[in-house]
Amino acid sequence: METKDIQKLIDFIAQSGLDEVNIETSELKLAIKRYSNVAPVAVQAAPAPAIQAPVSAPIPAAPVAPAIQPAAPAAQPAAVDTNKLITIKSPMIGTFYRSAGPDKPFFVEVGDEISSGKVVCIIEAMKLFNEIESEISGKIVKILVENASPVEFDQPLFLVEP
Amino acid sequence: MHNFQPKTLFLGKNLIYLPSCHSTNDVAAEKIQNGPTFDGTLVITSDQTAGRGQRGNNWETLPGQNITMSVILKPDFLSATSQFSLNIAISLGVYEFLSKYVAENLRIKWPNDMYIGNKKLVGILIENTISGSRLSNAIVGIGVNINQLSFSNPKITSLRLATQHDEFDLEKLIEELCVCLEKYYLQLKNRHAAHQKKLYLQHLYRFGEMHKFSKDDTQFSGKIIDIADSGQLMIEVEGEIQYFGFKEVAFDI
Repeated sequence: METKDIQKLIDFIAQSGLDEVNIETSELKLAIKRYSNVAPVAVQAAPAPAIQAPVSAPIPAAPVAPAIQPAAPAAQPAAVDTNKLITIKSPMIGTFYRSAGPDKPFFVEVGDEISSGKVVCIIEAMKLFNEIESEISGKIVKILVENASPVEFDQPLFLVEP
Repeated sequence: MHNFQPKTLFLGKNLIYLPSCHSTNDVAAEKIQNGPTFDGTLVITSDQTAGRGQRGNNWETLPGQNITMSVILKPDFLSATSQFSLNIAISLGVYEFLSKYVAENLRIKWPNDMYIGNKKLVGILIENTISGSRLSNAIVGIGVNINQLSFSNPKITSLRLATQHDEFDLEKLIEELCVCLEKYYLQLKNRHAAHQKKLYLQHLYRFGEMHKFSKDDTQFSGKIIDIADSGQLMIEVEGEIQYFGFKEVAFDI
């Protein structure tokens, strides 16, 4: 990995709202941490394009995912145990929308309590619109994809604390 | 809609007729939210005031002249990843309905527009509800221009304009459309998705011929060779197969 790649990676992580990232490959071992006291602000301002890794940044998805911390640890009353979080994933390839239309309110926000059957987003696939219902009840801890961006099959969309 | 009796098993047997409404898809969605609905429930209006098309687009229609309807289906036999097969079945149903009146140049334009020559006469808007990995409800909104004789957009036509036919009996046409939709829906349910895809490709606009397309303002020549399971358009460009999602590719003249 070249210096400019590392620079790119740091920029990417800086915008992602992640607090800490550890990447280990056969060639290198990289640990990036940010000061936790600035994290909440950054997280609120930029809702994680985390999974939308730009193609230019050669980050395998797997190492990033486990590193995802609860959105804003400082803002949570008690630190959330990441292991207990449940991920709502995309059931198909398509475009992720957080509302029913450009002028409609978002289905869910971070902090919302949702119950099973609640519509959390729309995935548009080839002009077919799919309302995605949550199968679980809990609190939305993090929204991992930005409105109107493309998603892959099985890509994590939401973190829910059951 | 007093004598509406489609010769079907279930599709259209349960009818909600509204002289006027904003969008039949929205009415269908409200019905689903407010309690159990029958598979095949049909919502029809004579005057749709705020019909919706592709996200944010409108579907414009004059009162009493065209088909504006939505069907509620329960395709729980389909997985979320194979939802495009529902689009294929619906497209084929509409195609067969029209083919009785249109002698030639009727084509399905991917993913689900219907064209006579280079003019559009059908809009379809499918909205599914997905729970886990399966479809639970589908709302299939279909707008077909029938008797309307003038359109502000020159690329739009109606069945009457395109065929020079006398005024059509709308109620009778809706009955016929229900029969065609049910036929292909039941065929899909009986696992004939592969056969339906072949038919779909046969009727597909620009299938298997060299044409110009463009992506991000870059033009290229290619040939549509297939549709992926996800519904993506597969175009062969300079010997290489490329996949395109909706709005990622434009059909150039």
